[in-house]
Amino acid sequence: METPLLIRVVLDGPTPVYRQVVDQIRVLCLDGRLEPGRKLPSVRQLAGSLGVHFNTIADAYRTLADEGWLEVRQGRSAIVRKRSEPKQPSQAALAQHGSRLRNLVAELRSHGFSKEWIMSEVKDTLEGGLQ
Amino acid sequence: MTFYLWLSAMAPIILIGFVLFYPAMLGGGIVFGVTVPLDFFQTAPGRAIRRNYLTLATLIVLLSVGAVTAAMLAHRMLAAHLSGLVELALGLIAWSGAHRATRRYAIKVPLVRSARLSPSRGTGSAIAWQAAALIPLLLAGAYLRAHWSEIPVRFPVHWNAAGHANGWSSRTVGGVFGPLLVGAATELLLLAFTAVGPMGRQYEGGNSPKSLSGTMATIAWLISALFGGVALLPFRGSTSLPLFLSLAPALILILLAAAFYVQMRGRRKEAAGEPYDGTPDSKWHGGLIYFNSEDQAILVPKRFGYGWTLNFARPVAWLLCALVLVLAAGSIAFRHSR
Repeated sequence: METPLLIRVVLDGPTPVYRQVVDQIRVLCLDGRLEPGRKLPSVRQLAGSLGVHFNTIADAYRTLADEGWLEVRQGRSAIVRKRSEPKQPSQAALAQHGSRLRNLVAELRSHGFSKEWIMSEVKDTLEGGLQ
Repeated sequence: MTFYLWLSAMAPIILIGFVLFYPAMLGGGIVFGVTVPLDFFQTAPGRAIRRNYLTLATLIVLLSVGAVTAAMLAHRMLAAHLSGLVELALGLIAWSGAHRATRRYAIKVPLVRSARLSPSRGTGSAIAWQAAALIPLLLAGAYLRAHWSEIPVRFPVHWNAAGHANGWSSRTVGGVFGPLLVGAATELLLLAFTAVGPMGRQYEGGNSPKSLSGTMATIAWLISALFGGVALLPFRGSTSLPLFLSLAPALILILLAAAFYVQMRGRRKEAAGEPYDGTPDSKWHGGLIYFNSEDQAILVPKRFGYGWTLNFARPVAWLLCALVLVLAAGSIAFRHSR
């Protein structure tokens, strides 16, 4: 029997709901809790359950499909894809994500998080399944 | 027989009593439809509000039980049922007072919502099970049509407190097929609710609209048995009240009380993980009616009582309400046409 996986969003938080959905599903795919072939709720179902607009979930699923994590078919459940080794990131992608990572580290540092804590979190995350 | 009738009259009182005491059983989080701190009942105002509400609820239930007992002893069934309605009205007044008092201690919490990352499997089969419950009604209809000439010209359809027939119907299309039509319309309405179930909010506690659809299928089959049985009553020689009819209301209400208990248990479990419901207080009118155009869910868990309520900002919610009203109006028109 499949373990029920939950997605949790904060509607009035600083991160857009679309981003929260993408981030959580991507993490679940990466660490293997969402295994290939597993069905996800349809856009309509998930939007109804979370009470958010259909477009929010549709955009999130589309982004995940573009990244190769999901296969989305009109009016049907989304399916987790068996993702082949991702191709080498482009220079533009490296610059964009490098900037995001630096911004996040700067934000954490400004909130008082130590370098050691950040290092150990990144290490644990990578070693805990996100490889 | 009188015992069963008494049980039927008392069952709504017991059920409403459960509902009246329900908020007092909550530990914190959402109390009387208001978002409050988890330790609200440990504070002096929280304790006072709960004490006042419990005192009032106890008085209302005791008064109603007294009224229904007196009405039953005097063989006044209508008065017995009316006392249930009066209890409900008084309960709403008590609730409203407690809601207003609690509102002064409302807090703002982050709007957190969660959903299962699995398709709502089971809804399709639950719909099929519910739709299958229409088959006995169709079979009963076919049987009635095939044995039309054997149906008495006049047959009982209503009984008094002693179980003697006091209302009659005649062998007309409306008189004979009416119960089947009412049963079928009720089942179609339940089907509509099950169909919008996946568009409702789900929670970790297990009380998702998916689990609700199984209960709906059970209720549909009970309705089928009840209305199918009633439709075949004209073939019965006796004019006294059949046992299954006198027990049916009590049985249905006992089932509802059991569902209420299960729901309450689920809510407590749910509150342990997520004590708030992800909806802002400002979108709840009186803590009872939900109207939020920014929420795509059609069904949301109630803040009071058990089960789900409709998000009245969604047009489908009004359509479902219209269906209920059409059904009620149709039943009344049918009764008066006989």
